[in-house]
Amino acid sequence: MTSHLSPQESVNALDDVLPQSRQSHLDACRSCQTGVAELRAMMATVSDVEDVPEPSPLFWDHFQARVQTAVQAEMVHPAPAPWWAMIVSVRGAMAAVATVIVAAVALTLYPADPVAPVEDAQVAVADEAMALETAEWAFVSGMMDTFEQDDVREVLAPSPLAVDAAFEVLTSDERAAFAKLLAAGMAEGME
Amino acid sequence: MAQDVTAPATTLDLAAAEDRVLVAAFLAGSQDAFQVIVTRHQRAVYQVCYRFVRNHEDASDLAQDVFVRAFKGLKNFKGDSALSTWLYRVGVNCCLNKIAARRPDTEPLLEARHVDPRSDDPFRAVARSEKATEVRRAIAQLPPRQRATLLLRVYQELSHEEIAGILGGTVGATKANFFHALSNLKRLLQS
Repeated sequence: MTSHLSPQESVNALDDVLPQSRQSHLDACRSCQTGVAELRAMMATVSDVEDVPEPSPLFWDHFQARVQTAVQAEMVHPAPAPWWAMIVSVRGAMAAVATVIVAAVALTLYPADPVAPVEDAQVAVADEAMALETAEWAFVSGMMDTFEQDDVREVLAPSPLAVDAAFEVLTSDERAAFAKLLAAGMAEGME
Repeated sequence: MAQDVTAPATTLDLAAAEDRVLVAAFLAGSQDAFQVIVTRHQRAVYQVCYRFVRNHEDASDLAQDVFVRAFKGLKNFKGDSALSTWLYRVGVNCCLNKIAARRPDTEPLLEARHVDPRSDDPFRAVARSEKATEVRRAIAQLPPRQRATLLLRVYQELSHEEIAGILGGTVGATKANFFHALSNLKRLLQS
């Protein structure tokens, strides 16, 4: 028994150009006959659909005039380059301009002795950061004064279930290593 | 008898000239030759575009775009296929770009519901119209290459070789596309 018709062969069967050897298979195979018949029916369904309404007769004259105008506009003002070409050229030009500006600014700001002004700037920035840190630290320590120690301990303490859950996900090797660490820790505590 | 391509464009009867003669005349500088190309192929190009977008406004814009591209690109036309096939290729590319950039098609309401009340059997006409709407909607849901293959094969009645030339790829792949287009259409219409 030969194989069933491939998609290409099924289309050849639709077009009545199937080679004789495959036509023999089609003649004998109910499944392939059904497949080709379904394709033929679907093609007829599509063909039967009235597809393009005819535009008004005036449309064609108008269309020719539109094409003529568009073509003339194209000759006078050719379409711009593709967007990516524009981006590449704009980016290249911008990069060149930016390089020149940065070089000019750098030469103006740091002409002869670049070390001293940089140190001055670093000191100024550090002073400003210290002032900020002092204010923030005062705020945090003020807040801490309002907390009760027991409340903090309760919030920060892990639940027993969390410890069990963490232990559950360890492999046997990890559990063995963990047991060794515990034993070592306990031994240190005993000493 | 073959026409003399080298004859000056002004001495040719452009309206009766073969496409290749018109192309040669256009490349030699005859704008009238291009006008004849537009007149000769505008209906077919418009119909291809309409089948993809299913509304007059977009179809006429796309058809105009096809001829503007043709005007710019005819110098690259090698003449190894018919001019109509080359124009279809430009048109299909324009249409595939267009439908890739927008939401899936919806049937325009007026076109979908228009039934001629003077027809002999209005009930049959309504049923036929609804069936046509279903089929068009299903075609619009096909993947773009399957859709293009189906439209070019069924409505433009192009050969699989011509469709392969338009869409790119082998004749075998085009046949497989056509098979899958019909199979998917059947599935979509049954669902």
